[in-house]
Amino acid sequence: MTPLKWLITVIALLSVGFIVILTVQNQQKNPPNFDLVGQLTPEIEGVTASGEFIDLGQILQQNRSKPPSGQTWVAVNFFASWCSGCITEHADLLRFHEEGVISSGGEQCPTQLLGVTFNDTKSAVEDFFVQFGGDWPVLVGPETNQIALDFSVLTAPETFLIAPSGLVVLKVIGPVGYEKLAEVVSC
Amino acid sequence: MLTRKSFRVFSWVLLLATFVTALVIGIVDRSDIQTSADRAAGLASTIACPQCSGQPVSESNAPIAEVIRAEIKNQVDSGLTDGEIRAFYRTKYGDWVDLNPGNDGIEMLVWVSPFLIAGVALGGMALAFSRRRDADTDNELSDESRERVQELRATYESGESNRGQNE
Repeated sequence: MTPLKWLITVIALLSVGFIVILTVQNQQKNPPNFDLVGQLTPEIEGVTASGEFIDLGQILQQNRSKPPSGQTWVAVNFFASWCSGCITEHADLLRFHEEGVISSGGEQCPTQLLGVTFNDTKSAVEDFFVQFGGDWPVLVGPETNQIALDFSVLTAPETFLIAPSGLVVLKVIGPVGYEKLAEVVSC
Repeated sequence: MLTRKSFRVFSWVLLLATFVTALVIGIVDRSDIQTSADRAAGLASTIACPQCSGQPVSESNAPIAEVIRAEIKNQVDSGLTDGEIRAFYRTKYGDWVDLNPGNDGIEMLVWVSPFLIAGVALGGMALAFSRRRDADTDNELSDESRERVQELRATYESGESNRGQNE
């Protein structure tokens, strides 16, 4: 084989090897936090549609001074008025908000439902609640983008249940049912 | 007046200078003369929409792409570097959302291999040309062949002159 043919062969092998390496290598140096379950919740701070300031950290801080039966579980629901799944789950969220969760011992477990708008406007969200009911706090505004990304949200609806300790104990992609939330809450 | 050899050297120097200039311009960070909107648009074109298959957020209409575009603008305005912004999305959605390959580890090959392959190709071309030139030089006739050619030429020319006289 002539030197030129050798060179062409080397180039061809380098190219093929390079493509093969890029194809088969899929190891990630930074594993994504898609699954937040078992991790501490990201911070949530913002203003609700009614103008109230909400700080999840403050709720969790208050839990520390309460007995376990008095500590609050927080369900964070990312939703939008344009998403059909959000309409599907709304009745279950309404039940969670109004009834809360009764423990196996018959005690009422303190719960808090917190809505976070996902790529939606305040007026559309207000119309949504007028139409479907519910009066739980719903964060609106540009800060909700950062919150959604901190929770690695892909689309609405997605719901996260946060234990009184601050650990995320449940993540539901798509419409969430009341039972799904209630079976995890305990006090 | 340029000789042929000096003209050839001049051409190569000019080609090299053009290549180096283009390389330097390409490498120098021009972020300081970009507006924040330019930076945000540039980042949005190299961060994949996590809900789509490899499509950059700049080209996607998915709600999450709209959220990321808005947040990139916010992050740029708040003074985060491009590296910090990319790192944020890699952490949240995985390395694959960064459409720009990294400059370390195996991803470095993406940047190095074009130069490597170009270097090997240029070397190959240079070798091929030098072999052809050597081959051209080797094509000179031997004394024996030269004598034979002269004999044939003489025979041909005498034949031509005889034909001319007959006519």
